[in-house]
Amino acid sequence: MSRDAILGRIRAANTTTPTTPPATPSAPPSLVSHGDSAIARFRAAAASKGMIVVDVKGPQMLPASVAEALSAARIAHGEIRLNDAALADLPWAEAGLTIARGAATRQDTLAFSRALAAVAETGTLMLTSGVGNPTTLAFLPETHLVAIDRTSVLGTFEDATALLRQMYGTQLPRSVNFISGASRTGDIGGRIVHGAHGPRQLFIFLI
Amino acid sequence: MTASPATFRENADAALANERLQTALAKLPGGLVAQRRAAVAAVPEFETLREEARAIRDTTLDHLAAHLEAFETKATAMGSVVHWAADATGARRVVTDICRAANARRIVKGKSMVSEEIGLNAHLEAQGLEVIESDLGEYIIQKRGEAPSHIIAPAIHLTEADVEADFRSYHMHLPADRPLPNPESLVSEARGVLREKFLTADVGITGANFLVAETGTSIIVTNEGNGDLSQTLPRIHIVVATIDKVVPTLDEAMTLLRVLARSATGQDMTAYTTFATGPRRAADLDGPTECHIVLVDNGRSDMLASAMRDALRCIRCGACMNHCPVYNAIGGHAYGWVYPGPIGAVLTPALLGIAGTSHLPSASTFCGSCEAVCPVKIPLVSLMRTWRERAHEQGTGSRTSRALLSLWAYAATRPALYHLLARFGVAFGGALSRSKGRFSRLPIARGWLRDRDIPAPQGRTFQQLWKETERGVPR
Repeated sequence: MSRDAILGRIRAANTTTPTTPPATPSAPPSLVSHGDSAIARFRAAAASKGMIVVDVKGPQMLPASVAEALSAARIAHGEIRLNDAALADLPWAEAGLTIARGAATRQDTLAFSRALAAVAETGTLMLTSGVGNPTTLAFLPETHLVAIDRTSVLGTFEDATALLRQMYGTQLPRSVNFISGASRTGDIGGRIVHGAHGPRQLFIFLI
Repeated sequence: MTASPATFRENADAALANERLQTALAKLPGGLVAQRRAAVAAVPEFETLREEARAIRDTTLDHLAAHLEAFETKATAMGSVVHWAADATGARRVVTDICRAANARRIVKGKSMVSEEIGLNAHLEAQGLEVIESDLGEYIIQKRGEAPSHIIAPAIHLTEADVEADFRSYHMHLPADRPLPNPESLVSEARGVLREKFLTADVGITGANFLVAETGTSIIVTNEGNGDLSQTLPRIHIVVATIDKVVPTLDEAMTLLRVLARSATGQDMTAYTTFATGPRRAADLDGPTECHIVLVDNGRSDMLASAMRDALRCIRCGACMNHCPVYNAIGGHAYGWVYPGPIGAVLTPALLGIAGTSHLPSASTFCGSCEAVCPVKIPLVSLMRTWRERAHEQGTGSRTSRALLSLWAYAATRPALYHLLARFGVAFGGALSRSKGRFSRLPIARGWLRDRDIPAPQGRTFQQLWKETERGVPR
């Protein structure tokens, strides 16, 4: 009822608008990078947003790197919530860490997600929801840990949408999260404070 | 909020005299202006991006009905329920019905300007539902019973001390003598209080920065993550968005996102940009089990057919108000409705009618700063001028200003008469103020001259000078 009335009014307003659609927009040259330069750009952009980027030689080294990074930041080695099967199989106990499977709960202080890709343009992580990557991992705990393969660092957001189309067609996962730093607010007195609702700190493990 | 656009002059006077407000205003917008300048300077092609953004918005509006239908089809296929609402009443009813059907009691909200526009909170509360704004700024002003004073920084009119006093009176379950010495401690306290609300809410309501027809997706852009918790934790997610929010594809959304955050806060990307598509999937461990999208017209299709069409390009970054000398002097509440600043001066008359809102487009020096920074190049000055013309045609405005405008128009359309009057004015005005070279008092401009002087005319008239220059005798 409302639908047809609204669409009818729109069509009536648009009878004299014969424009040609714009060419598909693309990233401007200054934002484009590839390969090693994309990784360098991603690293710099992520660091400028307060994220801590840790290089890891291979997946097996990940638990030790996590333990070291948490200690360096004086974050207690609590239980790490994750649900990615490959991440769960890593030697956490050897690094003195414990993990728990599932979505995040209110008690969790640490969570581990895997990013599908990263975008060098702005130092942004791209996470997609699914059974291995519950969205709550990225928002409930105070510290968010994210693993990303070096080969998954893309240049621009157009590269990211191309990857989404390649993997999912037009049927996106329930949530695609572009994350560019820890949760922040400037709503009190105009000063930026981290940890408004989501994580206070964000660590990126570049494998 | 008791102020209305009709009482703009009184609102503005009160705002200028409000020392606390002036303290808060003095601190903030300069920072946003400098941050935007730096972010724009970092992208040499920013002008090209603005032009692309403008073109994307224009061509989408040109084919809006088709894009909305495509969005509806795709969103439905992805499991969302799409609702249409012609006006505020219809939109409130749709949301209320969804909440009722779900036996909801508690609702958390992400930041949404359209929900302010349709008066959603008051309506839901009147139905016995608990509604909690979760954007920190919105939370603070909701508790105060105020409206946002800025579209992206709703509590920009408050100081840290104001918030501390408020929290001490709201959060009575916490020890009265707890220390709250800095913004960090205040944020931490609000985080704790709101976290509990998120975890126990039945419904989460968010707006949408964009809707993507290609994928049936709603996009929200935030820094706090409150919108994400609102659309992830409760069992029902309701997106309320106006019909102009749709874009055809993901790539077009990306171009718009490139100009949005840079124009708003000077960030290249906000902390969280989230694409949400439908309810949770069979294997998912979290996310809502129902997703509703309410497409609200509320005057947009009328704007599409009007001289205000270009204003529908707006992506709500707030740059126009950050750069507006009038907004910076009086803040957002003086505008008396949901949208302040230059975009408010254009939108408010379009959505509420020019009768009673004609002060808003008049409250501009036409300096053009707003247009110069608008990421989608809305011709704000000419749109405000159009509203001034409409107001004059419809007979609104004070009798004095209307009479003066009519007199001026009479003279300005008769060059010989105008020239005569101008020569008289120069000679007589110059003689009158010879001693000072300026006027500090004139009978018809007492208010205007209260805080400033006007230079007295001297020398020759513009037309005389023009003729001399034309003859090649510049002096």
